[in-house]
Amino acid sequence: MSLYSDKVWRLFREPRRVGCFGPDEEGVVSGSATTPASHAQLVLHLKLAADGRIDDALFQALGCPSLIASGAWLCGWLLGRKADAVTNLEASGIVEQLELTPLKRYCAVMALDALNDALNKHSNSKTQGSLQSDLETVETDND
Amino acid sequence: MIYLDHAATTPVREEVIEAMSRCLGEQGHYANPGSEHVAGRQASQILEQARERFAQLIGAGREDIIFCSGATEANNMALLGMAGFYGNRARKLLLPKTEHKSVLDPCRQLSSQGYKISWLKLAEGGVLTPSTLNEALDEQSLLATCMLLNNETGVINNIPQMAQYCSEKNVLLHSDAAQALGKVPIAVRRWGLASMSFSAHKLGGPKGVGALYLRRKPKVAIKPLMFGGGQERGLRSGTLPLHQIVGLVRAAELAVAEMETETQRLAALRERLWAQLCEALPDIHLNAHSKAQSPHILNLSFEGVDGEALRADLDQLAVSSGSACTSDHAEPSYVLRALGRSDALADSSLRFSFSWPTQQQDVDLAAQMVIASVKRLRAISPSWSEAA
Repeated sequence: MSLYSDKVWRLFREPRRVGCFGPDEEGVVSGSATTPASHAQLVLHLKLAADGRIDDALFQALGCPSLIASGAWLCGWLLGRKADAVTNLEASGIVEQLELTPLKRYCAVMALDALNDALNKHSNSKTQGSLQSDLETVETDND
Repeated sequence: MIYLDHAATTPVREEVIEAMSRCLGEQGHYANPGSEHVAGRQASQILEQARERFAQLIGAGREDIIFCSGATEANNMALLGMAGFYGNRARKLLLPKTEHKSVLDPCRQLSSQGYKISWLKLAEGGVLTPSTLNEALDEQSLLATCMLLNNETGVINNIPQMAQYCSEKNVLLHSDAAQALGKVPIAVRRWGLASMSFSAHKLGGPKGVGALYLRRKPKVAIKPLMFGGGQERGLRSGTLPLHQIVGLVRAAELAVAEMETETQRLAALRERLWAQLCEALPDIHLNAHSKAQSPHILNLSFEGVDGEALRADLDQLAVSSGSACTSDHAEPSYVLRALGRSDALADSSLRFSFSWPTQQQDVDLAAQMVIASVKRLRAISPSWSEAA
């Protein structure tokens, strides 16, 4: 009897979207999640277009087959979606898609944590960016 | 499927199956060795020949041998039995944390009855140095126990020296030798220890049979755990399974006869596997003492990979891992943790173990599979940056 669903097994054995973007690429934001209990790590790298659309998504993982499959599935799912439209994804959705066992639910949670971390960084950078441009505008006005 | 898990169990050798078959069928020696009729007496004669032969193989006398269901029972019988008999003499048990669970659990059971466990500190690589044991022996010590050959790491302990120290201080020494027979020369009487456990299925014999060496001169007594027909001098009741015992003895005979050549051959295979993995993969760790290692076990930890992922990826390679998997969780090996390995390294360990069927091509294929898996998983890992 297999310990993993067919979907998990396929994504574990031939994971797509593994890696990270080059240092010079623009619009890249990364998020990560760890779980000390199982010393697992998941890092998600998103490449966002100016309109907030996710043009590309890559992941890196140190963890069990279900975690690797969760990262790979999430990257595939994120492609082409708008950043502000992916926040409604829930762990139960990943669990269902990958047929994760209850013990492996934490892998879906980690995938979401990494996504939320990346999206938070993205919105923080946008806020900082707009603050910066406001300041620049003020300075310009003062000149 | 490449099977390199011979420390877990081995297939039964053809010669053993043949010997066992002669005790099973209608034309065979199937009678109860305890029966008085001719068929029973014939079975009894074969039983006693087997006992004599087994005793010779381990340097014992036939009266020192008690047949039982395996090393787990033999360990229980020795530890609980000696404590049961001598418990009013002293109450301290000395052992390292790397013992098999069939030793640890009876000792914990005794601890719940008021016995005190004194954990013996291990030297680097998981070896128990005899001087550490000697220094820990005191007037409160009842018995000490230490494996001859560790099932996870392959570390070989100096039992003869420990036995000498124990007898000088009148402490009973038990040793679990389930992995050792046919890999390490054994001379129980000369060594002078109190008892030693053996198992058939680690050396090409059937599962479900083993033996306890229990010294008769000077006599070591045990309180029996099994009561009934009074077989095995009343120390282990139960009809003796002649076919199983014959299987144990035939397997032991072959293993001991081939020991010299096989240990050299297996040690060469182990070195070959270690060299191939070391050459291809940085940051792997040997979980054993390099100078006191069994020829048939290689236990390694791989940095930068998750144990479960590694085991899943190697689904065509039968090896053991550093995790004790139960139905609902996997926890890192307590043996490797006792050696000082982190949880992550204990979890990402693999134990390769060889026996007579193992050939060079098995080892080469296993090396290729492991190298490919570790490289693949490290390439996915965010924390791994392989040295150029």
